[in-house]
Amino acid sequence: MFNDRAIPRIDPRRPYVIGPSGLKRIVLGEEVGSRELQQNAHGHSSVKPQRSQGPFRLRSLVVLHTDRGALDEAARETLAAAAILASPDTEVVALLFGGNADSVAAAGEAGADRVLLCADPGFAPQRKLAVLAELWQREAPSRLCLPDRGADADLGRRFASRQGLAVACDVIEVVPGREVRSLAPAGQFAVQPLPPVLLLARKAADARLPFRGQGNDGGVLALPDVGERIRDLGTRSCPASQLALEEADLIVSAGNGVQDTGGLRQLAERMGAAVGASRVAVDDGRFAREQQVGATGKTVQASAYLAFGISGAVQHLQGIKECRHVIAVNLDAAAPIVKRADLTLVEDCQALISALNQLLAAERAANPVLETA
Amino acid sequence: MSKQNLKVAVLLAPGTHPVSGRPCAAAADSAALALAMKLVPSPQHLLVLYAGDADDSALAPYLAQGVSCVNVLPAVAGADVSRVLARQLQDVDLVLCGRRAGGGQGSAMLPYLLAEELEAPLLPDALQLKVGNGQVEVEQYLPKGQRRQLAAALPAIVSVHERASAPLPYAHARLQQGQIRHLSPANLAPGVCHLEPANRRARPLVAASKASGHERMLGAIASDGAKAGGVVVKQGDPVEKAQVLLDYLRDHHLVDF
Ligand SMILES: Cc1cc2nc3c(=O)[nH]c(=O)nc-3n(C[C@H](O)[C@H](O)[C@H](O)COP(=O)(O)OP(=O)(O)OC[C@H]3O[C@@H](n4cnc5c(N)ncnc54)[C@H](O)[C@@H]3O)c2cc1C
Ligand SMILES: Nc1ncnc2c1ncn2[C@@H]1O[C@H](COP(=O)(O)O)[C@@H](O)[C@H]1O
Repeated sequence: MFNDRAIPRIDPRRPYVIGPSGLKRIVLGEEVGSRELQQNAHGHSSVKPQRSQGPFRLRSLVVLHTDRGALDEAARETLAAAAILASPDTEVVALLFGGNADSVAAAGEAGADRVLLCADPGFAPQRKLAVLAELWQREAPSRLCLPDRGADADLGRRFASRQGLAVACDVIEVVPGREVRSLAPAGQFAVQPLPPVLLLARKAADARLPFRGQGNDGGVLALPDVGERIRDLGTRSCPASQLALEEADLIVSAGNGVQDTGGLRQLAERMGAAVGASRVAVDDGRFAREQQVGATGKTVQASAYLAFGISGAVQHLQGIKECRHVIAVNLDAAAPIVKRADLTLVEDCQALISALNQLLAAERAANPVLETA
Repeated sequence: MSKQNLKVAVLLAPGTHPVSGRPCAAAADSAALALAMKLVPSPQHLLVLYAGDADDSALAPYLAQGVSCVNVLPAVAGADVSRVLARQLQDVDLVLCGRRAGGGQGSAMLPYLLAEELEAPLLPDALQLKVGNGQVEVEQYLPKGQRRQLAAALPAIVSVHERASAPLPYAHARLQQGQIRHLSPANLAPGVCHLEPANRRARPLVAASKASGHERMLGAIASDGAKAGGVVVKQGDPVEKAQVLLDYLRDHHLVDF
């Protein structure tokens, strides 16, 4: 049977409001709802609510060594883990070694309710243990979380063995209230009951929280005067040329856009940086295979990664996931690396490398003191 | 202290190959062995200890790497590994052990527990080792190419980093000559953890979100957008851009020149 009535159409772009259950289209004739409202909703969602308003009855402690005052990804994940595990009446207290006012705010954003600062004198296990023991006594926390890396891993293990507390190391999965898992060889999990001290591996928690901590400033703790049995004779950094790429803190990396490899090596030497390369540059024979960065090369952890003439293919970006600052030099302002980079200079590599070389040489000439330092 | 009367002990735990799960020498433990061999005139002067009930074949790779005799403290339920080992180590000047037991199975806790038990200083993550004048000096591995010198009076415990030495050569003849000696039974506590097959990925802790579906979608878009927020500099000649680069590095304290 043929129907000659018009088919009722719904305008797909008709106005709408955003309610608690999502987007709601507005029926004709109703007055609420406009596009401006939507704009406001965008702005509003950027401020996260607090995890808990208090009052707090219990405490959970997180101890972190900051990296020149900054919290790295492992630190954020540990704070997030403590915040997720905490009940509404549990306060997340963070003790930051070597932190400053900026790190207090960052730790609050990452989930800490109260942030205590303490100077970081380098290798001082007994003094740090004394601070921690005092804090442990005073706050009586129910849990201590630390990232399982570097100075935090060392301090956490010293504390657990000094206090005789049960500890789980290299934890990659926490089942709240029940158990923790870590990786064992031959594709197995080692499972143990949830202990009071947790040393967390990377990715044990998702650092993107839908809430933040109160971020109150808890003041500065002084290191007590306790004798150390081990003397710290000072730290030095290895010359970058002797370092494995995975260990380097500053990397100058070359891609297909770099023709002047001599200039690049000279620049790396002047900056004290290790030299990396993309696969194309390595396949071309301009760099050695062990300098290749990426999925089929090395994964690097540098604080700063300078990518000269690298397009930023996913296979390459995989290798630099952990780098804190990426600086790209590329002729193409639309190359994929620009999305990853914190700073992009649209310029010819050869010209920029020689300009950098000249700048550094001129600075050395003006300040000969730096040369000996 | 001369080489002859320095008493050095090495702690070895059998390693497990990370993929196949077969016994092998653990990298950190053989590095400890390599450093220890340099301190004594011959391998016979080393006290090599293992506490546990692993098969002799699991310790054989260490024999092939040059140990002349492994002393095994057998395990019976009831006491800690660290306490059992500590009893054997009372009059030893220097204890060397790996940073973490083989194949990542270990928790790297044993050196710390042992240090508490023996009340000796622990120098962690050693790459190089020097002994003289009743003290030990160690180069400690730190990430990002940093090295720290530490010194302590003997007796001391040193945990050795995997990178301290290249793998020791494997010689079947030494495996044949070496021996594994079982000492009288001690009491060992059963471990608190059990193993299960890892036939899935580990689940990270994720905060429960009360946001609506729409907000979550917006959040996903927003976080992608934020990542693309780097500074792009197109203006200026190469020298100006080079200056921008240097300023960026200095502003973020990434270089020290
Ligand atoms: C299975 C597989 C595994 C891979 N593994 C890796 C890996 O581990 N590591 C890796 O790096 N790659 C890997 N690749 C290759 C990867 O996909 C890319 O092909 C490669 O990274 C591209 O290298 P590139 O950026 O140096 O070269 P190109 O893609 O050629 O990019 C060159 C860039 O330099 C710019 N440029 C050119 N001339 C200049 C100039 N004068 N000044 C400034 N900029 C200039 C161009 O605009 C361009 O953006 C893999 C690929 C596959 C399929
Ligand atoms: N049962 C054991 N017997 C002897 N040495 C051990 C034993 N367990 C661990 N070790 C040593 O202690 C180091 C750290 O072990 P772990 O704490 O188990 O990761 C290892 O590298 C070994 O050198």
